[in-house]
Amino acid sequence: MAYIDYYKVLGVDKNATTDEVKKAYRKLARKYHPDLNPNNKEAQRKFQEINEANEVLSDPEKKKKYDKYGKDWKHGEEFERAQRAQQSQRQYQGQGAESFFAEGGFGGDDFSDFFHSMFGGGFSQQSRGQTRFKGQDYNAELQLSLRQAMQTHQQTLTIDGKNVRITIPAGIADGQKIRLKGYGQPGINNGPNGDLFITFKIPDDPQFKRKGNDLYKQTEIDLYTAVLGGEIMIETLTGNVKFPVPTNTQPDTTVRLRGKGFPVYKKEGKFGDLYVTFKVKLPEKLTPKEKELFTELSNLNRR
Amino acid sequence: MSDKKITYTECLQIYQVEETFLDALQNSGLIEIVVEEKDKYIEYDYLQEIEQFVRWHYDLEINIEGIEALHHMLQQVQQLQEDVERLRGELKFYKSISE
Repeated sequence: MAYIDYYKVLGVDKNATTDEVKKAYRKLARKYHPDLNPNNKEAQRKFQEINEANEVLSDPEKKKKYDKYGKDWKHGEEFERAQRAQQSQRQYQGQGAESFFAEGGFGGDDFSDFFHSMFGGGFSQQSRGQTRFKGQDYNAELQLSLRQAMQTHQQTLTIDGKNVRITIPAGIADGQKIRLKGYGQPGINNGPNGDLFITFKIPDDPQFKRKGNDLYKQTEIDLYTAVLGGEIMIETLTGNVKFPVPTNTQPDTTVRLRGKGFPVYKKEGKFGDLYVTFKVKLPEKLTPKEKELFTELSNLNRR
Repeated sequence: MSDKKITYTECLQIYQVEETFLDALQNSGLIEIVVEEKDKYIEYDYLQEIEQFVRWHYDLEINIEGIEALHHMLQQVQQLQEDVERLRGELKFYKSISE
């Protein structure tokens, strides 16, 4: 548990008045407030820090205790108690790799161990930010494989101890966010519940690259098929398809398989296309007979 | 109270704000106050933003003009962040197929 220099955090000296502390706090809060730094975890962390410093330095009693014992604060009974309290903190866990976190930054829950050990869990000062009616929104990340994302399917998430079954429509995109109205924190004083925002993360598939609703892949064909043509099997996300490779197919030729791409989000029965690039594989070892025939071919071309 | 809106008076009590504040937000076009049979209401859809404006005004001491400017800037930042994410995805795609 590290000692935190709250004076340094707010950039004020030890003799600063409550007004000076508040002024310094506001100045920093305007810079780091989570409302003004969307999706910036570093700013959020910084804001927690200045919030905590303000909580201590603008409260004469806390400031007095901090000035007197702060530096020498040791692990003790209070620290252990605070740790226990932290462990029972809200946790949102669901299946898979998703994690939940509440947006905002006004709770006292994220205060440091140092703060908890010295002052317990209390967030005593009334800030307007705590005047709430609508419950806070929750944000969650849900990881899906490309193959999962191509089918409409259901998943069960556990939010505040309750199971919520959600339907994920086929064709969802990487980074897409959906809102589940009313699945956030319960409202306060009969206010409406917050919402749950789920951001989908779809890691790259080793075989299929996705761009919008289209899929791209490479398929190897041998020299003879490229030159003479022939039927090959191409693996798509929905199974193998036969494809007639035309004669004289050049390396890196790309062909389009219409409707063999990704399902279009919320448009049932509609699919993007699959683009297949042919990689021509040359023989690595030639038998004497093959070498002879290649030489003959080569000579034929030189004439 | 109806399901989807609160009265203007309730809003003042809940958020402990002055009438002038809510009226100024309405005059700036930041929120909408609807009038039904002489009573004024605010729709639930605005609550999230009202709570944010209350924090900006009372915690951070930002005036209405500042709130208006910030609100606009924030929308632009969010749009840019979405654009960056989308472009990042596209770049990743082009890199992966050129490998």
